[in-house]
Amino acid sequence: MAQLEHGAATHIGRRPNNEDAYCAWPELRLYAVADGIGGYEGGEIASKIALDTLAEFIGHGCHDMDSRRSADATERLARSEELLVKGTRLAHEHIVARQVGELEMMGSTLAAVLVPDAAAIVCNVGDSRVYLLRDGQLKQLTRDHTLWTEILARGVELPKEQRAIYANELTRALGIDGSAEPEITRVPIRSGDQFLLCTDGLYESLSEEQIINGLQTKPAQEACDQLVHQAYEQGAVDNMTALIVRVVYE
Amino acid sequence: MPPTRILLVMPEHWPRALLRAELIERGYDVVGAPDLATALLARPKEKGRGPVRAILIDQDALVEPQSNLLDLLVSRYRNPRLVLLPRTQLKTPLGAWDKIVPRPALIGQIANAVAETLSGVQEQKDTPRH
Repeated sequence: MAQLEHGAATHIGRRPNNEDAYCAWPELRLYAVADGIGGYEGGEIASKIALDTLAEFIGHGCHDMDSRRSADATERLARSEELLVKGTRLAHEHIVARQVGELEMMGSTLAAVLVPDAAAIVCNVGDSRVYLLRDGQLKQLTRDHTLWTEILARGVELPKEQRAIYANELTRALGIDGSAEPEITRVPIRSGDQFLLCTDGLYESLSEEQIINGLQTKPAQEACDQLVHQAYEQGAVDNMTALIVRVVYE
Repeated sequence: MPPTRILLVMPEHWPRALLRAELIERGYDVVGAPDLATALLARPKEKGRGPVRAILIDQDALVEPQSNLLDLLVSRYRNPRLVLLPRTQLKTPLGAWDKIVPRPALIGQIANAVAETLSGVQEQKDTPRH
């Protein structure tokens, strides 16, 4: 089984509080970032609920899978995917259950990677992203759930200066009824692969070239620190989070 | 409880403004937009505002390729009631229209049609339509 190394960093940017959150559970082979929405305090509560719920659910599910080790790789992968989808739906329900009073509008994005075997399962809701760096090429594995992306996908072109308005409007988010369904992608992994999970504060501030250069820094923790620092130095206003997972076959 | 929100998608400013005023007078919360892309910017969930339960669309707003955004608009607001204001010279566009209000129509008649589609919606608001 592939060995995984990870690093993570988050920064408040130029906001009054940090509504981003990340989690890394090497024992579950689960990594995730979340970007809270909904104003002061609400956002950071929502992102924390999302990650805590997901980890707890997958933790229980993985223990159950341990007792079924004899299952073949395909079945384990299918089961892991099911866990990720159900865990994400549960995270949505937990956020909705806490939407009372000042927290009425809270919600969160989610981008997660689960690596049960020789493939990674990538999941996202909202505009937090997962990239794969392989052979020097950076590929975005997730599709942003924003109005901008949805409108372009339907062949409608809007003036570029309107991008910021439409890109900021999420079409899916945890905590928003009817729009919390996760999108799942499976990626066979190779030694040397690097997954970057990040929030919009990070990728909106850095060019693709800067991200590639940042990912080539070693070790992973140093790379995350560098990416976040560089984004901040380039004027990032929003909270920003980077989480790197590296695949190392022994 | 906040009033029901209605979305008006009408390219022409004055008819839209008059209809908006009429519906506000009847107790609705109304958002106007000149095209489908702008209409999408109305957030499905907003503090202190009710959900969008009805969308009135002027056929003039259903021009290619913007008309491709109609399904996105409908899914964004969880299957609201749809009212079409057609152009008499044009073929009625495909869509799950709950009501079609033929032109010429007075502002009051259009407002009546929108209000009629909303009667009883509150009770069935969480029932998906097929």
